[in-house]
Amino acid sequence: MHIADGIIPNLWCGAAHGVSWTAMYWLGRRIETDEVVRLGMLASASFAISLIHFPLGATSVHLGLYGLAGILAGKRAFPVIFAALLFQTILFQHGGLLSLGLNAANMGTGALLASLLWRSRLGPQTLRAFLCGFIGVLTPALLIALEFSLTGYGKGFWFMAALYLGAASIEGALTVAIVAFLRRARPALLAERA
Amino acid sequence: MNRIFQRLDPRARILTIVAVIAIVASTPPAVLRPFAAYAALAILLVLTSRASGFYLTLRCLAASPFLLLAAGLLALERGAPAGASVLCKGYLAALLLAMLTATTPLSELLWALREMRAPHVLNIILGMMYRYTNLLGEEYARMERARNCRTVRPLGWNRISIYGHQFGNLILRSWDRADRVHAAMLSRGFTGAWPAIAQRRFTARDAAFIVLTAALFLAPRLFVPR
Repeated sequence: MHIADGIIPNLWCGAAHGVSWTAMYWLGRRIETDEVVRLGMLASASFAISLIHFPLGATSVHLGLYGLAGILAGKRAFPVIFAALLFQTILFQHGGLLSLGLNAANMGTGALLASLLWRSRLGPQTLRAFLCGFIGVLTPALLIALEFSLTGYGKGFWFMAALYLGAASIEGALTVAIVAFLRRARPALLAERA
Repeated sequence: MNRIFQRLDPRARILTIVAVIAIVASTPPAVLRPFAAYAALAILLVLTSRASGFYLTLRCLAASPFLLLAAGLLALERGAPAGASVLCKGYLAALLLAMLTATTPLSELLWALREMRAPHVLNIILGMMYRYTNLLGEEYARMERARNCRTVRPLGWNRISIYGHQFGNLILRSWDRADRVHAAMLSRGFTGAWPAIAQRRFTARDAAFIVLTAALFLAPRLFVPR
């Protein structure tokens, strides 16, 4: 869910821009060019994958891959998500320029929580991979519901967030499959970067 | 009047659109009268560019699902005028953003972001996404065709594993491609930032356009009775 412009008050959008740009500079500092190129390619691949609709019964879902970004890019997942959201705003009108900071904060928080969880080494890797995918989707949904209820939209978005439990579970299962493949094919990619 | 908007410095175009969207979005909830004036001014602004009306309409429609949901929920909570206000703000913002992207190539937007001191990491990732998203999408389509040639269609829970492995394979290939691309960039003298394609200057005319446009949009916000 990308929040469009004109929906959330300007004050909230301004504050979120401040937080997101600060995080963007802070988490993107002292980065080497080879790493930026990898992050750019990771953002491209994630975005290409997110455009693929995955058939599920009578409907279809698509992935966000915020949890996987947290696993693969660590704290650099925030700049990746910020850039990907700006790209989608510019090219597809998904979201808006004023709400970009809010969208980045919502989705970036999911990725950063996933990154922390992955690096915590708590529990088996498969369970952690599932939870990373799960919270990568559910955290933004809950944050959006919170923001909408605090800005006068009532409780409707909490029901939407509840619907996201299904999407978060599918994302978690797919993250497990992706991590299982990478563990076999290139374990170094899953090395726990800061 | 044609193309006035496109002749502006890209930074001026971005600042104009951000200022106008912020003014429109700051209209108090349930106040609808200024929107007729906003719409007339937005159409005038569109006429100063060469943006296609059909393209802009399609782009605005892309914003519809979330806007309709938010407007519906707000209408239930605070009444129809509040919902209508959010709908008007959202569509006007989508129209103006679509106009910006229709009249400004991504290379110019990237240049403007760089000149406005956006971090290099943002610029490079955006540039790479523009270059490689389609390419990697086509690579995935080739992987899918190859799988379809060799196997039956995946069914049931098995499909999660199969799709997951394919997605993992695409990420692996993109990671390997990144190393090759980086080596090629270094060989061409890459120093950590994209070279500027077109040098533009921010002139007094650009500043005047921003101030005049913002003032025109601010007038109905301040003076049209509620």
